[in-house]
Amino acid sequence: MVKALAVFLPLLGAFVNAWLPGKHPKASRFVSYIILTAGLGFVVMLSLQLGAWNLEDLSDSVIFHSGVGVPPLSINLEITAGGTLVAIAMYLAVIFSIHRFALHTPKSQPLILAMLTASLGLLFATDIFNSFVFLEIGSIATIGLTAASKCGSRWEAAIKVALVSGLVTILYLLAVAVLYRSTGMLTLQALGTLTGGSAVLVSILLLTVIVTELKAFPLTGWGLDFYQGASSNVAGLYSATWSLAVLMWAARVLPLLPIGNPIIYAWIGAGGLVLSQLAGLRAGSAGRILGYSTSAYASLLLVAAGTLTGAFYTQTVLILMVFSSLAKFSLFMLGNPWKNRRWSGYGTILMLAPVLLLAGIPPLPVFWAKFAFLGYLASNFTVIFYAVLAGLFLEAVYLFRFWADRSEKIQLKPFSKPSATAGVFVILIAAVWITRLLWTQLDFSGSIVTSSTLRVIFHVLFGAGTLLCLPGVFNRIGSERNYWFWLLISGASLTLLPAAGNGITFYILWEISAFAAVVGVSRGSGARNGAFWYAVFASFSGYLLLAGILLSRGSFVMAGLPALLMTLAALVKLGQFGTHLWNVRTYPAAPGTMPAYLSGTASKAAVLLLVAVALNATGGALPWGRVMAWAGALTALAGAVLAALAPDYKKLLAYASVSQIGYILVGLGLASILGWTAAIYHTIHHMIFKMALFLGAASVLYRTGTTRFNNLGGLVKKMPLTFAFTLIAVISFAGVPPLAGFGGKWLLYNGLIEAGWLPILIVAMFASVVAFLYSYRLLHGVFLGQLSPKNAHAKEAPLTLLLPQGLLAASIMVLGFKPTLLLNILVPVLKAIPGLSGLAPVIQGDMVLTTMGTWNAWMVGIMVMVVFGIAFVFYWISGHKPKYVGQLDIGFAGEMPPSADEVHYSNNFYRPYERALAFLPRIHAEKLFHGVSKTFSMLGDGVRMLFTGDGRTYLAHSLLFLVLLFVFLNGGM
Amino acid sequence: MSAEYLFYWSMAATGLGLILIGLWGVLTRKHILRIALAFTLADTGVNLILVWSGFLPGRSAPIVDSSVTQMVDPLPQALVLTSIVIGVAVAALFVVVGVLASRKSGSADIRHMKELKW
Repeated sequence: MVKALAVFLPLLGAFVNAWLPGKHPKASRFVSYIILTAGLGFVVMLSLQLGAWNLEDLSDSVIFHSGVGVPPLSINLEITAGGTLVAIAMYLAVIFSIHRFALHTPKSQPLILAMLTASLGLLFATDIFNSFVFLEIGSIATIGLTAASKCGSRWEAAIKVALVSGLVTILYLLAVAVLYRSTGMLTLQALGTLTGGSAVLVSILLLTVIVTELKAFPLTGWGLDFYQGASSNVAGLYSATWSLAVLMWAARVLPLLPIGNPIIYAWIGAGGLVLSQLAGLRAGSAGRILGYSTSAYASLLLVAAGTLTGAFYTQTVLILMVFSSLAKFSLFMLGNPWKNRRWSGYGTILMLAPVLLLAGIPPLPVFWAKFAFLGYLASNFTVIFYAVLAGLFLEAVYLFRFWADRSEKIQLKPFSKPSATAGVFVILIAAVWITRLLWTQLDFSGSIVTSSTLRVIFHVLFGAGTLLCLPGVFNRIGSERNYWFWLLISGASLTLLPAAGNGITFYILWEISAFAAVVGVSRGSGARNGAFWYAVFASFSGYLLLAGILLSRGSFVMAGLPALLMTLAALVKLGQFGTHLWNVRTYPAAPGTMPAYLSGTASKAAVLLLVAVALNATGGALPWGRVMAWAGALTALAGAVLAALAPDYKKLLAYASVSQIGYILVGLGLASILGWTAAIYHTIHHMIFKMALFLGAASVLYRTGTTRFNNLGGLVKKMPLTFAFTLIAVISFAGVPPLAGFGGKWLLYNGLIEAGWLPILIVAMFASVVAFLYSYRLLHGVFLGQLSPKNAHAKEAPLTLLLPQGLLAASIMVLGFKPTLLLNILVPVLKAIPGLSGLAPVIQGDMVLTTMGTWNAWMVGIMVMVVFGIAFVFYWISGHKPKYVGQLDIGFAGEMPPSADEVHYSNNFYRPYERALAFLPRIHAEKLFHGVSKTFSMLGDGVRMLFTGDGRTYLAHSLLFLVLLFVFLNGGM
Repeated sequence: MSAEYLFYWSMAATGLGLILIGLWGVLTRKHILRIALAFTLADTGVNLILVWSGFLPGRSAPIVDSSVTQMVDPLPQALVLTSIVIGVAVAALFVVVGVLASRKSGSADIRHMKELKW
């Protein structure tokens, strides 16, 4: 009885509702709620009875007969444990969205309830003719609901669904007839007993039906048009009920088809995934974008059906399909949020959780299934693995664009979108639940980075970096929004990162820190683009890392291809020249102290990854070390040149960050003890001074509202402390002896000379010279020269920003005068790593000795201070008084300047150098990148030409697919 | 006997023929109601094939009677009833949606219903 009610109660409700007079919308809504709640109760009872909630064994089932004879005359349902979970998701979706229909189109309630019964029936039906009946009810309800909505293109969407379901009916019934003719049975199991010609015929008919109904590529067109044309309410409800039911039904039928080798599904799926996601890059409307994402999940189902078996298959498909459907439900239920009222952060979260889920970011439920699934593919079906990975990356790109385009416009009050809220809530609870079940897979023993000293260094680095960014989070300007939460999440997972003991743990922490930071960035004003590029490059680097981990089969990293992939992941994350595009877009756009965190702290995760790869793959030496060192040196040079020419404070710092990272790569690439000492020393030093500089930039931005050089200048009088701290940081990174930066360079050049890599040495040294250019520009453009009248009222930075800067400046001094404090810890550790070549520097008191020379930082520091002091006193006594000239006091012969800013001294500061360098081919990384994205767009446009919009084309696609399958299977057999 | 088989195979051939004509019509006709008609034709063909799948030459209709000893399989005939009923419902819905869609686009030509594409 419970079983029957769980499935058929909604149908009863549909009949009751259909006969209720339309005058009482409240009564019909009441009936719907009663029916749905009762039905949900029954399903939950069944799920508890079948023990579905531990997700371990989902195959338990109970059989239900309708009582009138045997199938197919009666209805025969097999209610499985996994199925009850799906059914709960469907019930919840309907319960939380029916009020939206009850409000505007009360008469569509019977259709919704009928759709729910059809979905539940299809989910559990074991008889192929029963399935047909449910399929038809489902299509009728879909067409009806689409047509009953209040959306402009509803008729066109409905007619396309009708056309396709007409064709599906014909093909499906033909398959039924052939099956019955050959076996005399109509159960799903009978499919397996088919042989010979009828097996081929039934297989191709049903496969065409399934691929069409799934909207998998290439039979996607009608689904896209439907999602685009139907109202968002209908599309949302559809994806959480009917679409989900079809997916689960297909998941049951596909393994039973007598098709010979199921690997053909995987090929259709993998090829379709790549092509459809290429086309998805170009999709414009929300409905269409989500349609392409549906197609991606359908293709994933085909890949799973072709490669996995048993409980692994059931669990993977269940998690992937249920949660992707729920995510789409939530996104659709947001409707047109940009028409809504006031701003709140709640809208972002509402939009974000489903997008992250669809993109498979941990710890959301889909991630766990994808990780296991892709791991299996990596070790058994390599080509399919790469195709799937490529497709998923493309999907992530357009999903993040979708999010970036819309999240800024979402302005919601809490609980103003209960359906979407409910969907997100379910997703988050499930994330906790599934993570709890799979917690044992995680390992925080820290066995990846074998040296505990190195681990502690990185723990402290990440932790301190995050903490120093925190005080300033409330000094926001203009339309910037709260980002402290995301900064905290990102920083916390980063701080845990060195403790990761296996690949999955490392990957999870890496991804959480990256994507929490993406959200943090998106909270800036006008940071949409910056956040989008960060998300794209973060997911690119994430997928490279994932591929590396999965191809290493259990261990963290294996030498060869996995090590290469993970090295690339780190380089993308660092912003190696060529991928630096995200740094220079993201850092300037990020709000408040966020850029300090990103550049100073978060980028060091990539250094940790490089260290881990080197330690695990080769015991110290990074593969392709010399190539990496060259890449690093050129990055240092190119970044420095671009920094010198940058017109904006934050942009300059972003390029400078790219440049400085280059030195770290050179050091690691050396694979000698000296090189690594230099690299890790510079990593710590870079974190310190870059954070100080970016916090200084945040202070300037907070007090003046701008970071463009031609609006700044002369701030030394208004913000003397900020100036002092920035000055210390600048002197340090310029590598002038008394401060910390000198040590890193000295060690690095020693290492390069030791290894005999003189060309790299020359490039690195030249880059340091260029660094003087931009460091002077930075000081001059912001603090020196005359004060801009616009900033006449600027004040010293608030204490929340000053204090961290002060601490950082102090540590620069300490590290500068006493570098042995750090080297004493570092050198013994690095000496113990067997893979590193060369001699270790020897430390005697304050002296550091290498074969090339000695360095006594304390002595040098004292001497420089004394000389500096004498010069300062002399200057003081001489009483030199400068003559002040107004900032805009400049003659302009014969021309009218378009605006005062353009004659500002800081405008085009280094134009002479720019002109002098003009004979060199300019480095057109941007152009290259645009070329790549244009190529992808063109490919996508080529693919989506398939979906012409003419309903008959879609039918032709299906029939052509059928014919091709026939030819292929007959040729293959 | 041969006449029975002739009937048996011509039933299959008619069914298949109807399906092919229907599919041809669906793919080539532009008027939305003609497409609906083509679908109905194909549906009829499918129903014929369904009946045929349970048909055994030389046996009588499954109406239980003292004189009947050998009858055809009754199951497909029962199923066909369901399928016909569903077919009617789907066809009616199709026509309704088609008519309203053509009112919206101002023409019954399916080529004019291409707002949603790519």
